[in-house]
Amino acid sequence: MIFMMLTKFEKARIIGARALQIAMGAPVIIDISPDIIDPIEIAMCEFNNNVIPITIKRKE
Amino acid sequence: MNVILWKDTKKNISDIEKKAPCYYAIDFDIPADITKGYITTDKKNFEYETSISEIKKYDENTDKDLLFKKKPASVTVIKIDSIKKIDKKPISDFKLNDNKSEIDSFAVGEEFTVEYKEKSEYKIPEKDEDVIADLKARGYNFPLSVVDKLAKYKKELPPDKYEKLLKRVNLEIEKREVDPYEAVGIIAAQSIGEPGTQMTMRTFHFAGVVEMNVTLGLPRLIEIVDARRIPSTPSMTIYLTKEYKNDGEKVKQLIKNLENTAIIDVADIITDVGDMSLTIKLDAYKSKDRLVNISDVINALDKIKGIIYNQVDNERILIKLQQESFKRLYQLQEQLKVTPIKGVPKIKRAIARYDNSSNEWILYTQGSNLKDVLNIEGVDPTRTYTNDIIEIENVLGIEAARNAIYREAENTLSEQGLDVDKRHLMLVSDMMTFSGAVRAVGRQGISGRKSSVLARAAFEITSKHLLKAGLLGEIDPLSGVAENIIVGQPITLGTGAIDLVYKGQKK
Repeated sequence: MIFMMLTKFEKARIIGARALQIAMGAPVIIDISPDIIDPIEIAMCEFNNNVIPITIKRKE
Repeated sequence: MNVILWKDTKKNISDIEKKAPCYYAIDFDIPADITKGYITTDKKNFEYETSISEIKKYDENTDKDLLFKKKPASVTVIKIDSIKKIDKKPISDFKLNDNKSEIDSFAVGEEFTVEYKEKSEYKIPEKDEDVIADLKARGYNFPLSVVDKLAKYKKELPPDKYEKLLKRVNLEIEKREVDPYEAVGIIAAQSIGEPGTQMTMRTFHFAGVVEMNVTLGLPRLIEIVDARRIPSTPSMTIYLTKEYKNDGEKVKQLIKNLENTAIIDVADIITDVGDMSLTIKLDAYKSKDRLVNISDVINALDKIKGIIYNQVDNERILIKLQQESFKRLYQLQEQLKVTPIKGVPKIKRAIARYDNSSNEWILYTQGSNLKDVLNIEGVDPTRTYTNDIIEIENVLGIEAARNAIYREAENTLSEQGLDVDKRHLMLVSDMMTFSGAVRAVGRQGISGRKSSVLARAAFEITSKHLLKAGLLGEIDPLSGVAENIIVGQPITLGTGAIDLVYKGQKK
């Protein structure tokens, strides 16, 4: 059985990569309240809404 | 059962193979009750097994159609029914009547038989089976210890609450599972290291030593991890068989047979330089205590070469040299001191204690000799234990050594009241033994033999490793942690090990 939940490392990696994109000026995908300005927080918000267009590739 | 062992030429063997069953004349007088034989070609390993059905005296006139090993010297004729090639059996599989390490002609010996006992299968308790069925239906996988606890609640709780409980337990277990790419080695190292710092002060010194002194605490832990050839205080715990374990007299006797007694332990050795002689004077009290009498001493002296000895009276033996020399006299005196009279080599002392919880006598020894002790009658070989890990590896094998490392480390830590999770200790013992031999943690062991050049160079003696790798053209696949740090890549642990892929448009 393949374990389909993301591990903590995978989650951190995805959020980290997305936060970097946002920090460098990438458009934010969902509407987020203007109070949130930290890219990591925005990325986490996106992650929780399952909209980040990044997934992981597991090694054999 | 006795068997005959002999060395033969390849040609003879192939002749027998062709003609079997056949009669074979040999130059050795063998006992008549033998039905099995083994043939070696290299004096050490036996490759052929034969079954022998008939043994008779060789008679030149009547016997015809024979195969000969050595024609002129034939004494006996054996009928070889069949011969077959077997996997090599070393000579140590046989107990020879005369202790030879090689076979160049014939020998009669006993074949050691190994008795296999099937370990009784673990039975899952009946009350747990319902719970396991429940878990299977839901796709959960719990350890048995958890199932055991749940069995109680299945009866007590209403079904909906029980369902909730299972869900919650499953969640908790999943949370605690180690994720892939977790750096378990570092965590294990720290989890053992931190409690280790707390051990230090309390245990270098011992107060109130009770009979037996065993290394404990940090020094012992270091010893285990270093995989020393000989621990500083080897000791054994010997359990006894049913017939012995409640019989105080038999236990006493066993102790005397265990303790290695040298001449100096029971007698005084007096050197007379003027007379060029040595006198062994048996100490009445000591010898009685160790159940040794003068004839035991004489038996021991038989094995020493170049001396003439004479029993003066009941407690004195006069020894003279065959060739007089002061140097030799001094050497002899030193040699006599350590000459063993009886007992198991390396076992210095043995103490029996009555264990009230299991109601039996248990022996504790100073010094360890697992192989010989297991052979003694009355010793229960299934429970007897030594703290010498390397000895366990040699006698019982690597899997036993792994368990021994775990058990010793666990005991050392728990004795100090330190609670280290057993998985950390199991990881260490697995790492030390996975290669098939016990390796120490450190330069000679695990770190020194990593497959990657860069990892080894990072650990110690950088230039030596790099130079050697250059000369041999070693290839480093950059699969470990240290290598990747050196070349400046993300390491293959934690977040560094994960590859990202673009998912594309959301459907």
